[in-house]
Amino acid sequence: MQDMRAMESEMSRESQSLMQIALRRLVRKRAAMVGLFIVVVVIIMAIFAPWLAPYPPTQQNFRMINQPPQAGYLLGTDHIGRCVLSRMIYGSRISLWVGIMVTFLRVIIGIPLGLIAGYAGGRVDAVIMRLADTFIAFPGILLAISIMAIFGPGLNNVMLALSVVGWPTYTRLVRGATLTLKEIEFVEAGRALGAPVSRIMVHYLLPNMISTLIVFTTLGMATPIVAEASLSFLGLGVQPPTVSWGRMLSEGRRFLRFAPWTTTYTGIAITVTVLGYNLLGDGLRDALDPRLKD
Amino acid sequence: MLSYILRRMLQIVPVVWGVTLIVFLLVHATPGDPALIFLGPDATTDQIEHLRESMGLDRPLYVQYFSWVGGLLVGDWGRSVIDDRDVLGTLLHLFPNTFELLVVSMVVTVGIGIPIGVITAVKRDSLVDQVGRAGALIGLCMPNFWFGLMLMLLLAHRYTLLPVSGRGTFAHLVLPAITLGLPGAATVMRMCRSSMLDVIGQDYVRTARAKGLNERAVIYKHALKNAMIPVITIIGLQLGFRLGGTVIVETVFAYPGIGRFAYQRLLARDVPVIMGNLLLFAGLFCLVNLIVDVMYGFIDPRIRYD
Repeated sequence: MQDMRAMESEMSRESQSLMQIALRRLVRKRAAMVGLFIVVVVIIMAIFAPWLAPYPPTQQNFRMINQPPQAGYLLGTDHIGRCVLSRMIYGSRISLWVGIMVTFLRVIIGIPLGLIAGYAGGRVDAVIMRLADTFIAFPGILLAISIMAIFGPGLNNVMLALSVVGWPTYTRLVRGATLTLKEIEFVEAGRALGAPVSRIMVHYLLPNMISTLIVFTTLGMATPIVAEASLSFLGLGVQPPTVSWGRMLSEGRRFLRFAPWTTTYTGIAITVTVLGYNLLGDGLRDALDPRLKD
Repeated sequence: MLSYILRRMLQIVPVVWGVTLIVFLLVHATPGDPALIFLGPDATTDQIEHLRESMGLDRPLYVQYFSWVGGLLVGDWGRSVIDDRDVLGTLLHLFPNTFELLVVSMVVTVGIGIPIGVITAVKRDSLVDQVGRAGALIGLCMPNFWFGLMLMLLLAHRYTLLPVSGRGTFAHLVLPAITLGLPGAATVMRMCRSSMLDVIGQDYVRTARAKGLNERAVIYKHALKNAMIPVITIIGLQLGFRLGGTVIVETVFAYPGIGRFAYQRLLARDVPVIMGNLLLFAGLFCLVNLIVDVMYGFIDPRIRYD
C-alpha cells in the first residue's frame, strides 16, 4: 500500500508541473485568450444579468414595437416591445447552464462506461460499445426532438434529451484511451501492488487522459448551446417567460422581413459564444500536447 | 472484399436491432403510453381506452414489440394516427425530395470545401489561407438554421433573388442546399487542408518534384489523389450527420421532405409516424456508413480486409 501511494504521489507531482507548463503555453496563445475572454464575458453576463441588462427581460414598451437599434434600446425591440439587448443578456443564462449541465451529464454517463468497456474488454466491452453505436445511429437532433415530443417541452427535458444523445462520443474517446493506457507498465505495476479496479480507473487511468478530456469537454460545451437553440427555435425548448437565445430566434423569425435585428444579433451572440469555446478548446489542445515544443 | 462487405453488413444487424428496441422503448416504456402521448393530458379515460384497444396497446409489451418488428420486416410500418395513411408509403413518397436536397447540398459541400482546402494548403500561411481558415472556423460556429435565416433575409427578402420557401424549381433548392451544405464545407475544407499538408511533406511528392515535374502536376496528380482518402471519409460522415440537419433546414424553408414531415408529426405526437421516422433515419445512417466503409476499401488499396 505504501509503495502504491508513493508511486501515485510521484505521478501526480509530475502531472501538476505539466499543468503549469500547459497554463504558461496557453497564456501566450492569442486566439486561446480571445476564446477565454469570450467565455468569461458570457459567464459574467449570465451571473450579473439583473445588473447589466438595461430593462427586465419581459418588460414591454408598447410605444416601441419592432423598433430598430437606437439610443435607449441598443439592439432594438421585439414584436411586443421588449428590449433585445436585455433579453440577450438574460438568455445567456440558459445557454451557459445548458452547456454546463449537458456536458456534465454526458461526462457522468460517458466516462465511466468508457472506462469499464476499455478495461473489462470482452463481452462487457461489446455490449457497451454496441449500445453506443446504436445511440450514435440516430441523427442527434431528431432523437432529441423525439424525446422532447414524448416527454414534453421544457428546460429539464432539453437537458435530458441532449445528454441521452451525446454521451457515446465520450464513451468512445475514453475507451480508446483506456485500451492504450492499460497496457502500459505503471498500470500493470498498480495491479501488481494490489490496487482494486476502481482505484486503477480513478487514480491511474483517468489522470493520464485528463488533458484529452479537458480539451474535449471545452469543445463539447459549444454543441449543447447550438442544440438548445435549435430545440427552442423549433418551439420544443424552454417555455415563456424564460428567455433563451433559441426562443428569441424563433420569435424573431416571424418578423425577419421587417425587424431583422432580433434574429441577427441573437444569432451573432450564439456564434460568438460557440467561437469562444472553440478557440479556447483549440488553444488548450495545443497547450496540453506534450509533443509540441514551446 | 466480398466477404468483408458481408461481414460489415452483419455488423449492422445488432445496431439496427438496438435501434428498434430504443425506438420502441422510447415510445412504450415512458410514463404515458402512445395513446396518452397522442391524446394529451385532457383526454377522457374512455377515449384513451378506445384508442389503446385499436392500437393494440392492451396486449403485453413483448407481444407488441414482436408484432411491430414483424410488421416492419414485411413493410407494414403502421398507420398514422392522424390521417390513417400508411407510414412507410408516406415516407417513401417524400424521400425523393429530401434526397434531392441532400445531393445538391453535398455538391455545395464538396464544390466549396475541396477547392478551398487545396488552395489554402498549397498557399500555406498566405492571406488566402488565413481568410479561408477564419471563414471555416466561423462557418462551424454558426447555428445552421440561423445562417439559413440570414441567407433568406439577404437573398430572398432584401434582394428577392430567390424564393423564400417551398419546392418546385431549382431556385427553391438553392437556399436550403447552401444552408445545409456550407457548415459541412467548412469541415471538409479543414480536413482537405490538413491532409494536403501531410501529403505535400511526403517523400514521394519530393521525388515527383525532384524529377522535374511542374508544380501543377505534382499537386493535382500526385498529392491530391492521396490526400483525398481521409476527405472522402469525412464527406461520408457529413452525409450521415446531414440527415438530422434536414429536420431544421426543411422546416425553416418549408421544404416538403421527410425532415419537415418528421417535425410536423412530432408536434402532432403521431406516434407511429415518429417511430417510422426514427427508424428510417437511423437505418439510412447505418447504410451511409456501410457505403463509406466499403468505398474506403476500393479507394485505398493499402487496406486489407482478410
